[in-house]
Amino acid sequence: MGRENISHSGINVEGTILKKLTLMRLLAIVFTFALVATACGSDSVSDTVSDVGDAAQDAVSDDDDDAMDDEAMDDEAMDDEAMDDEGDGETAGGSVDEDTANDAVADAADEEVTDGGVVTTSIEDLEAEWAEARAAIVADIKAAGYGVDGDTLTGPGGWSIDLSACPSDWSDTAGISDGTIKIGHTTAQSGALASYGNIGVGMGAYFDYVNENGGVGPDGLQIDLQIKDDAYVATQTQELVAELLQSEDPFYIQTLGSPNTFAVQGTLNDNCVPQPMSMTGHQAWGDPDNNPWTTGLQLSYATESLLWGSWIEANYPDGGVNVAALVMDNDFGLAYEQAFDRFAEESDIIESVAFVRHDPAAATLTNEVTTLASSGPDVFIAMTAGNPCVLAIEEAARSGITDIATALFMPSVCKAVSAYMAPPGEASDNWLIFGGGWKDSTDPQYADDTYIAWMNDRIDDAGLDTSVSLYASGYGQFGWPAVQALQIAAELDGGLSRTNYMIALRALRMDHPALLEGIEFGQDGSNDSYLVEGSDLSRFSFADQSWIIEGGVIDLDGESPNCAWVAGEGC
Amino acid sequence: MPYVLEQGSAEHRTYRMAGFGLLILAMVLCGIFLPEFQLFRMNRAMATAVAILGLNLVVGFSGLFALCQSAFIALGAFACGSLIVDEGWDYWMTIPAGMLLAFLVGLLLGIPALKIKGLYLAMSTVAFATAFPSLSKLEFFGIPERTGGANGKEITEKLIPPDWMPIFNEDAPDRYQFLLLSILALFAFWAVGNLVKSRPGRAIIAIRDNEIGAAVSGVDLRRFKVLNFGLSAAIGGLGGVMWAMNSGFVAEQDFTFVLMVDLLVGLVVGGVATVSGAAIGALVVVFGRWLCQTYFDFSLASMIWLVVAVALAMYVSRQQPATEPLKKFMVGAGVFVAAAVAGLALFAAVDIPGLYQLNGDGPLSQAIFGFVLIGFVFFAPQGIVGSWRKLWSRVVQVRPTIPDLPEGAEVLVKDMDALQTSIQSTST
Repeated sequence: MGRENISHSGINVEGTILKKLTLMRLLAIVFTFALVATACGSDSVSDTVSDVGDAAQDAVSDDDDDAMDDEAMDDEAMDDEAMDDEGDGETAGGSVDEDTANDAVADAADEEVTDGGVVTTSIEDLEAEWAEARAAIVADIKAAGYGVDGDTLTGPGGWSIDLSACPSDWSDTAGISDGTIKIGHTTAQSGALASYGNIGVGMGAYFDYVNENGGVGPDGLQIDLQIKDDAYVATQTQELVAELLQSEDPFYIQTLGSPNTFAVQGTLNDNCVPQPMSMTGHQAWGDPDNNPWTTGLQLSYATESLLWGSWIEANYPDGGVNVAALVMDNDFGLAYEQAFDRFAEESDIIESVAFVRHDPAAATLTNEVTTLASSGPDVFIAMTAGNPCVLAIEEAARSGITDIATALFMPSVCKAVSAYMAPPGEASDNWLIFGGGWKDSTDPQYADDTYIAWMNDRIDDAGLDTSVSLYASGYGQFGWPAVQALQIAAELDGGLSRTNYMIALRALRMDHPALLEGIEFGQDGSNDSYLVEGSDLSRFSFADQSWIIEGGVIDLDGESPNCAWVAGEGC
Repeated sequence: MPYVLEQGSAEHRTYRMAGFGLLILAMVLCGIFLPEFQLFRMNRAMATAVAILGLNLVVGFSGLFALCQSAFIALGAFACGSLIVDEGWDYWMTIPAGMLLAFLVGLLLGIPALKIKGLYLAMSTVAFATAFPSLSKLEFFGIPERTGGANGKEITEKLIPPDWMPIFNEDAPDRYQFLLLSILALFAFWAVGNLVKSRPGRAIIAIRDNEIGAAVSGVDLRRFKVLNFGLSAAIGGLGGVMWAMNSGFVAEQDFTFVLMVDLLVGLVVGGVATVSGAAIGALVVVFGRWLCQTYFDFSLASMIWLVVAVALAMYVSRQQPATEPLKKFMVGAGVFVAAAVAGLALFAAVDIPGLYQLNGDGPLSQAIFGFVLIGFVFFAPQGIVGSWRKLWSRVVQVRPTIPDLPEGAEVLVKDMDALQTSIQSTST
């Protein structure tokens, strides 16, 4: 591959060829850097006042679609104002409307600081409370007569499923045999987002505990959790779900990741297989009419974005706020970006938003954060997850954003103290978060909380590291409600079956021990299809190494309308 | 003693027909007996095989390190998805459209590739492949709507069997898709196989072996390099359309650089510069990973034992005389298998939890898969197909015939028999 110099009839072309080759090499290197820079992060600054002509976003959108050309912009601006003047603005589906969010944030700010939600009743008393709550739900369901009537499954809040559309070889008790109930779970155990696989490990540890302590239901069914690795690749999820359905036929299948859940949502609903408590905060899982077998669990990203927006409006009454947002370039980060962008466009307080996207597997975020620092932000929001949270805090301090900006936000998924807030040291002091309402298991203020302490002990017994908060997420956040729903379903008429399980899930309303008091954990069929709709607003204290709650908890239970998600248009 | 066939003879034709017939038989048996979910995986393997074929064309046969095939698969898949959902096209029309789009982008990339060589070309194409998922989410020209953005796009019209084919079940279209995709894949392999044996194919290979020599022999370097790029991209686009036909869902996260690595590994493991190597490589990459995940989900202790077994096998095989490489390999393989089975059986029997297998809790299966691939590259550097051909040449050899000399040509070789024998001994 060396330089071949071809001399033609005495003319010395060596020099010219050398220059051309050098030039070409330089161009190649510049070209490469340009492409790599694109890969590392793309920068789009949107000025809400003038530039609505951005390409349409498939965000949570109302009837008024985002304008593609400037002619429609004026009309849209007038429409927006008209709608806001009506008071109750168009609801977005999947998240509360902005007025409700604004009111909730304002109300919570007025309340006194709560005690942080530490609960000290004994674990036996807690278990008794849970048993009582379960019995009450069972009684309500039986009294209302929900169940299978011919070909229709009826449930709470006007929710129902037509079972005649299920495949002919469908079984209501699939996955239950020989005293075991098989549950499938697809997650990312390899690749850039492999740490999410730990949620499944934690959940499995809790199921093991339940198995050792009587199992599920009056027959003491043992839970057999089968975890499959899809490396966060949607096609792999499809293959694994097809394999699970055709060879194992589990009772239900739980998926992780928005595109992964989207990819198999149709298949699972067509085959009448429950897809409960999907491990993603996308708002599309609250669609009990079109996808009745699917639910989510955690606070939706769209609602969290609205809460950020509302907090900004409440705390910067003079307006002229510049926001800088670091966005993870995948389904998760872009969900935040699109919802927040939509809020910002209609906000008078927010003057400009700068979004910079970063590669999920990026090892450093210096370039992205430096770019954001140059826009002189008043508010900095990290819309990312995992180790980039740590990097975001460190880089924000290094680039001076911590000094310029008056408010710095972490996303709810980065609440874990030992994993994300402790490593950056003092740079993490005073960061704010809408934490989704969860008590972080590595936060020292909850060391005496009965459930958190008990859970950490059990995680320790299972041989897992308690400082890895994702284990606790699996154990408590996701594992506990899974078992509660199974227990309730087992007590209904007909015993544990897929239909009874879905009724139990749709009617679930209990005090989740890992959630702060005041945040409801429950659904109500077609009336309320989101389990968690509340959050705390907390500020991190480096000295205490814990999240201090500011004001009251924000609970928007039942305020999020259902989301009939259409790709490209939103809810 | 190898059985010698004269190239072009009737026997040779029967031999090739038999080989082809076996392949068709294997595919028919797969189509009939494999369960639906395995056919889903097999379809993806075929799409991957076609993509690796395209990669082979440019990396193996042409020597240009164009490592952006995953971007062309993505282009084909996005084109298919967007045309069907947004424009209401039919699946069949998206095949030429996807291939054309990928071809054009490949041509565009091929032009700067004329001056960039080796590592620099690899660098720039890798940058393109890595950037592509992000490019497909940029908020310009309505791109995220067409590609599905970060959440992916469901192709609402699935490829289901028509009513006049009652043997296929409409609810489980994977078998029907297997039929269609295997026809497409066979066609692609046949086309590329013909290409590399034809004049343009020889020109491409000549460019790889000696660029100046090829130029001197009258090969138009610019045209062939750029067209080669375009063609390999088009084949990658076909692979992408096949991917979308199978999965019915396109998401940008499926087409990251990890896919490129898979393709490259499949290329090397299958056999660089061999047409059938692409298919073997794709099978290894797709099914090997699944096998390791499902059955070889070993714990760390088991993996350490396997490494020990490999070291033991290598030590024992080194004791064998170097003049008999086949015996060395067999002895080494035998020792490894024996040691591995004995050790793992012992672990399984002892029944300490976590010693033998982790039952889905461990991602170490990926590491096992990695070791297997390293093993392939170590023990079979020509790829599986290359090594297979070496072994098989001890059983059947095809002796190329000396072409008829034209009228009036001077015969410079006195002893034709000696010439024939020398040709026979150098061809493997």
